[in-house]
Parts: sequence; structure tokens; C-alpha cells
Amino acid sequence: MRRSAELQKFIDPSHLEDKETLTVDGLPLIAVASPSTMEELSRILQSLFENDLSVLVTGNGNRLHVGNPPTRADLRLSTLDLKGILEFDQEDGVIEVLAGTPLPQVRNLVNSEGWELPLDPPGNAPTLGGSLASAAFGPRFGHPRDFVLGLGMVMADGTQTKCGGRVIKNVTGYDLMKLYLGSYGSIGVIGSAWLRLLPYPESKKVLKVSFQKDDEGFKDSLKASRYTSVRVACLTNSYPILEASLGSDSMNLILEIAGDEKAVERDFNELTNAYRADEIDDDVLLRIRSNQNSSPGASDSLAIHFRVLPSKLPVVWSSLNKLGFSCFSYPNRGDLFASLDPNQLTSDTETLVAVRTLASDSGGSFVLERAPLRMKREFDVFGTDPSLSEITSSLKETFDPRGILNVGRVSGRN
Amino acid sequence: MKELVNKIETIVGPENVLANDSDLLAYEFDGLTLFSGCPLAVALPKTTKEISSIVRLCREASVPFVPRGAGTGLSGGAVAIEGGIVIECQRMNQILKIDEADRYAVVQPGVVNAELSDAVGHLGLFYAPDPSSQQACTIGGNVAENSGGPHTLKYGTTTNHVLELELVLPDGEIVRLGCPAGGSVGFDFLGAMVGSEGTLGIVTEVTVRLTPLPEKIETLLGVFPDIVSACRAVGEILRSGLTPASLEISDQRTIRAVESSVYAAGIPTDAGAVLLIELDGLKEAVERQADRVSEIAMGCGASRIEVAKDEAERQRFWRARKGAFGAMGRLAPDLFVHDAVVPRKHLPEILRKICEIADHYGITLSNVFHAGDGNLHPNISFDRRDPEELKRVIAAGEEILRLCVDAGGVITGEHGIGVEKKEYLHLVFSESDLATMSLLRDVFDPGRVCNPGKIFPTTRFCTEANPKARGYDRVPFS
Repeated sequence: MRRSAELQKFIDPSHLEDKETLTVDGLPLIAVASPSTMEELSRILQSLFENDLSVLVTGNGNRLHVGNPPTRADLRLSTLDLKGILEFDQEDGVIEVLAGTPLPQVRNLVNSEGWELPLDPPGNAPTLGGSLASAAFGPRFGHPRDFVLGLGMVMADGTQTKCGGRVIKNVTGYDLMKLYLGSYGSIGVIGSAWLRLLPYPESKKVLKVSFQKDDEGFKDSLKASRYTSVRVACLTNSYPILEASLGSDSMNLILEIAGDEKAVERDFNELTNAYRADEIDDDVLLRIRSNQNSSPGASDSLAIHFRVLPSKLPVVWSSLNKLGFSCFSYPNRGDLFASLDPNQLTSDTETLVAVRTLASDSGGSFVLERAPLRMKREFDVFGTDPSLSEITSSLKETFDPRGILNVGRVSGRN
Repeated sequence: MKELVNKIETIVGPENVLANDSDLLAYEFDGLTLFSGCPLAVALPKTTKEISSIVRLCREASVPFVPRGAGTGLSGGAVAIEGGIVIECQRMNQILKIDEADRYAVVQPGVVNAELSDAVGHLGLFYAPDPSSQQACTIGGNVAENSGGPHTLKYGTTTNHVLELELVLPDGEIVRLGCPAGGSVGFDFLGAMVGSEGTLGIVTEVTVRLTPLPEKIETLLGVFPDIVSACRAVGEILRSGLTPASLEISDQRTIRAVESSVYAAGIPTDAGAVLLIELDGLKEAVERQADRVSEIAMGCGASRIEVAKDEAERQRFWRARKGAFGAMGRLAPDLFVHDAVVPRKHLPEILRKICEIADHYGITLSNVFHAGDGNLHPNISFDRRDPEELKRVIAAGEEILRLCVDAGGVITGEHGIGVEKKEYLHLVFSESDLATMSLLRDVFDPGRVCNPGKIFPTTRFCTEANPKARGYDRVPFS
């Protein structure tokens, strides 16, 4: 931890200040560098690189709870001042945005022109850069990898580079974008991005469908979540997503169906005929989104995101319930969010071994999105595959040879 | 080198190693006949372990190796441009698993693209990426090239459909990336691997997403007086908020070539261009969208819209589209299939300028392309035995690429860089951009033994448009 006064000989003081201490997994940070242009970002990183100073890169801090504990960071590099919409091509439905731009601002702009921003991560005004660096997603659109066309990057040594482009189909050179998305700023800092937009749906409806909490109910809920017009499917029984509390033997599937008016109408009619379904207010979608990012109980609660094969959801869900977890799921994608108060655990190790087995037996993966520091110190929150540890370390060392970017945070504690 | 070939024979059996000149002739090219390279030998392994062993041998002997599927690529990616061993994956052609409930399949790299869709059709599923060569190209090759096809407008390219890969790294190690459930934890190596043109490893098993077959498909053929008005219709359709499954344009020269060939579909040969529109989804929505699309096309100058009345007619329309490249064999002995992408709003202007470039250089150029993606395929028919013509073909091609890049586009949307475009990469990327890409190569293949001579430029700047500078002087049969 350093104060800005110590860093002024390395970084232009006009972009440097001390802020209220931010502690990330036990590491306090006071000095904050806040570039407002790509060139400033480049200069700052170049200076940090040359002087072996390390940074923790942040947007609006919505995903700081995800990651292994940082092993070093002299200061925080905030992208919040690096904001603005560089180009909005309304005809082609693509937009170029700087990393620190809050997504609600982008969403409002594109919605007003008949387009939809296919990024809906939870959190308080999440920034574009933070959302992409942490591969954050929400109930509607899933992982951002399918919607990012190009990235403007600043590498650890300050070099500005780009990958991808602004067109919707592109195989020109390596697809480095995929590596940067979800790399938590550990191999380069996202400065800007070209995004593909979707046409704003002609029609939308939100439904609540009830099922028994048994194998048949799970099967039916998966079937219902696969209707053509479904773009949000959230299965829940114990989360405070719905205002009315449910009995432990039933589940509700919240569906948003959207798209062509006639298609929405037909799916709505079929769903209401086939199941116990009612149209409900769409603000439930906001509650789903906010529950995805937080979990009941203390701030050091244990929250795990699983991605499993949809057919395995009943087994995983039931096993997690037995371990004491509360769950909710996006069944059509196989996403399952589980949380509990870690004080209820009799053994961290046994629980995490069970979690790892559940994920691998279900053809999937998991991330400990929230965990007490004691667990984070003992377990890699990304449950890293040991067979990939060598190339993971090699990638980090090659792209960040002096180890200055978000050190220790990503898989393999790189 | 004979010793290396002998050792490979002990791994795969002598009957699965090709090393005599006549056998190797078939491996000197891929789908792009402008570049040739004769391998030392071709190995035909049957298992991942065999590939790993071959790779280890090559690495020990410092001999390059080149993965190859069906050899249908159009950028020279599967050509052993620096010699070495070609590792052909066509014997690894089994569909290992089909999971109907979770909608995925596990296949070996040599499975032919179209055969996978055929195998899962009875379950109401299909494999969405459908390159024009889908009757021959393999899934392994599709992964290497991140192949697209006419339906990528709605369904995306290969990268959107690959869930897990098993591959042999350039040091012979076998790793798995991703998982059948999809998503990624840690660095998304899987995403970086797709489209890396076989330069980071050899794919030995692929888990792909299967997509539900749409309930209704409507295929329309719009006949336009010229290509510019067809391009305008594409823009208007997309601006209306519709996302058709595909929007494909063929120009008059292409139509005439097709109509003179076995792919003839009864398209009027006096049409300036045709726009093939495919809509899919729920019946009610598709019918309504077909009406809207027809209205837009007529408003943009279409003289008529034909709707495929049954599956046979739909297949006839598509045969004309997908057979276009084959039909162009009627125009000249050689065909240079270019591949570039532009922002869709620039299509009318770019097409007009491409025609001007063709006129300026006096070349025979036809256009058949994925208009909805902005993915152009200006195809130049020529005779490579005429050195003067070859020079003009190359010069025109380069000017077209520059035009596309200046409009905000890129130099390839689905064929890859390979050997063909590596010296043009500077048009799109700076030295710093390329140096960063090279870092990824350093991680996986520091010795540059895995498919060397591809993607990365050998010159610092774009070379002149002369055949020798680009290596076209090695064209055989002249």
C-alpha cells in the first residue's frame, strides 16, 4: 500500500490521489491513479512497469469480491474517468465505448435508437471494462464473449494494442479477445471495446410458472425454459427473489419471453395452457439480477457459481441443499448460484471437495464468487485444473513479465 | 529424415504414412491453389496418443508439422509451406457421443461437418456452422479456421458452438480446454484456440453445441436489377429489427456461371443480382417476417420475390448458392476467392468500388457473399499461366483489401490468414498488435514447429503487388 505522495515522481499528480482505504481480501489500497484517456492509461502503466510498481485495476468495484487474494498492489488503477461513447453506428448496430463508461448510460442510449445492449451484469452501475474483464453476466444475455467485436488494450508495459475490430465476422489473426475477457485485468487492461447490439424486441412478457420440487418438476421447468422466445429463465425456491415466500416443496420459474410479437403471443399461450403460469410485473427481473451478485447473510458468506449440464441440475441442486446451500438457477444455460453462511460448515475442505466433485461430475465448472479470506487462502477460487497450470502461469508471465497487474488474483494465483 | 519417417511408421503403421512423390502431390495444396509446399511425409493417425507421439518425434528432430483436415481451406493454412510432416486427421472420423438432453455432441476432428447435422437431425437438432464446403470439410478444420457459413448471421461462427476441446500441444502434451456445460473458468484458452489456424496445437476431439431445428424455415429469392440495390435491401432488412438466418447475394456473373452448371436453379440470367433470404423460427413469426422482408425488398427495387414452395425448392436455391464456387470453374482455369468484411452500411458503396477496381485491372470478377454479415467474397477468375494476368489479379486483390480496411473492415471473415494474407496483416494491425499476438504463440509454440509460416507476416510492411514478392512465383504447372 502506498500513498499518492510516494508515487508522484512516477505518475502525473493530476491523475493521482489518495482515497478512502479500499481493502481487497486483506490488502489495503489508498493511492488511486485515474487516467481519462488511453494515452494517459498507457503512460501510467509504462511508468509503473519501469519502476516495478504493481496495481489492482478497478471499475466500479462490483466484482472485487471475485478472485484470489492479491499478493501485491502498490496502488489502485481506476478506469472510472476513462469514459465515453466513442462511436455509435446506429445503422450497423455496433458501438465503441471506453472502459469506465457505466453500462446504464450505454443501455439508455442504444435503447433510444431501437437497439439492445446484450450485457446485463448485476451491480451498481457496472462499467463496461469491469464487466468484460470479469466476464460478468446477468440473467438475460450470458457471457459477453459472443457480443464483443474488438478490444482496445493497454498492456502491462504501457503498449497500446488492439484485437478484433468493429465488424461482426472476423478471423483476422488470433482471437486474443477471448483471453482478455474474464482475465480480471491480469494480462492487460481493457481500455475500450466494440460491441455488437441486438435489435430491441418487439414484444416482451414476464411469467411466473410453478412446479413441484421433484425430478418431474425439474424436467418440466427445463422444458419450459427452452421455449423459443425465452430469454430469461430463473428457477428458484428459497431465494428472496419473489416477494411471497414459497414452501420448500415447490419451485417457481420466472420467464421473460421476448421477440417477434406473434412468437411471444404463441409461447405465452402455450406456457399458460401447459403449466400453472401467470403474467407478472417485470421488476422481478431486477430482483433476480441483484440476487445473482449477492447472497443472504454476512458479507463474508460463501457464494458459488456453478455451470453444469442442464440435465444434472436436479442432482447438483439437491446435493447442495443437503450441504446447507440455498440455490437458484438459470436452467436453460446450466447456471446455478449457491450460497450459505460459512459458519454453518463443519469442514471447509470437505465442502469444497464435494463442490469440486459435483461440478466435474456434472460436466461443468465452478467459481467461489464469495468466500471468507481463510477459504480463499486455502483454495484457488477458480478451482483451477492442474493440467492447465503450466500454460496458465506461462501466459501470465509472458503477458505481464514483471508481475504488476492484479497479481495473485486469477486462476492458479497468477 | 528417413529415420523420422521410419519412426512415424512404427507409431501409425507403414500403411498410414505417405512418403512417395505421387502420394504427396495431393497434399501440396489446399483449396487455394496459389501456394504449394511439399511435405516430407503425411501421417494418418487414428488416435490422440499417436498424434502426441508424432508431435514429440517432430519436436525432437526440429521438424515442423502441419495439421490437416479435408484440405478445403482457402488460405493455404493446411499446406506444408516449410516442409515437414503433415498430420492428417481424416481417419479420426467418429462421432463419439450425442447427448440429446443436454444438446451436445463429442466428435473426432475428421468428422465431416454435414455428417454431424445428418446424424442428429432425427433428434430435432443440428450443428449450426455450415461453411459452403460442409459436404467435405471437417470439424477439426472448422475449429482451426473458426469457420462460418451462410447462417452465421443468426447462429454465429464455430467459436460460438465449441464447448470443449482435447488437443495435442506443440510439445506433445495432451490437454482438455473447456467443458461440455460451456462457460470458462480462468483464462479462456478454448476461445483463443478456435481460429488459431493450427498454429497452437492439434485438435483431437471436439465437443460442440447442438441447436434445435427451427419449426419453420422460409426461403425467399429476391431478383434485383443490380447488386447495389440488393445491398440496400440487406441494410433495410437489418435496420427493420429483423435477424434473418441468412442474407446472401450473388451477382450476375455468378448467376450466369451457376445457371450454366449442374447447380442451375432456374434463376433468370438477366437478373443483376439475387438476394437469398432465409428466415426461421416459430411458424407465426416466420410467415409475418417473410411478408415484411418481401415488402422491403420490393421497396428497394426487387423485380420479384420467389418463395421456396417446398424443401426441394429450398435445396435448389441453396445448391445454386453453395455450388457457386464450383460453377466458377466454367469461367477460367483458376479462381482466387477473396474474403473480407466491411461494416454492412458500406456494402452498396464498396460493391460499386470493387466493380470499378475490376474494370481498372481488366479482370474477371464475380461476387457471391454473406451480405448480412458484411462478409464479401470477390472472386477473381484467371489463368495463372499468364504472368501478366496473375500480376493484375494480385494487384486488384490487394486494392480490394485496402478498400475494405479503409471502410472499417478486415481482411478475412472466415477463410483465415494462412499463407495467403499474412503479408496483408499490416493493413489491419500495428507492429504492437502483432507483437502481442506473437506472445500467445510464444506461450504454446516457442519453437515455431506447429504449422510454421502461417498468419504472421515475414515482412515489416506490405510488400508490393508482385507475384514474386508474395511467393506466387512457385506456382506449378506453368
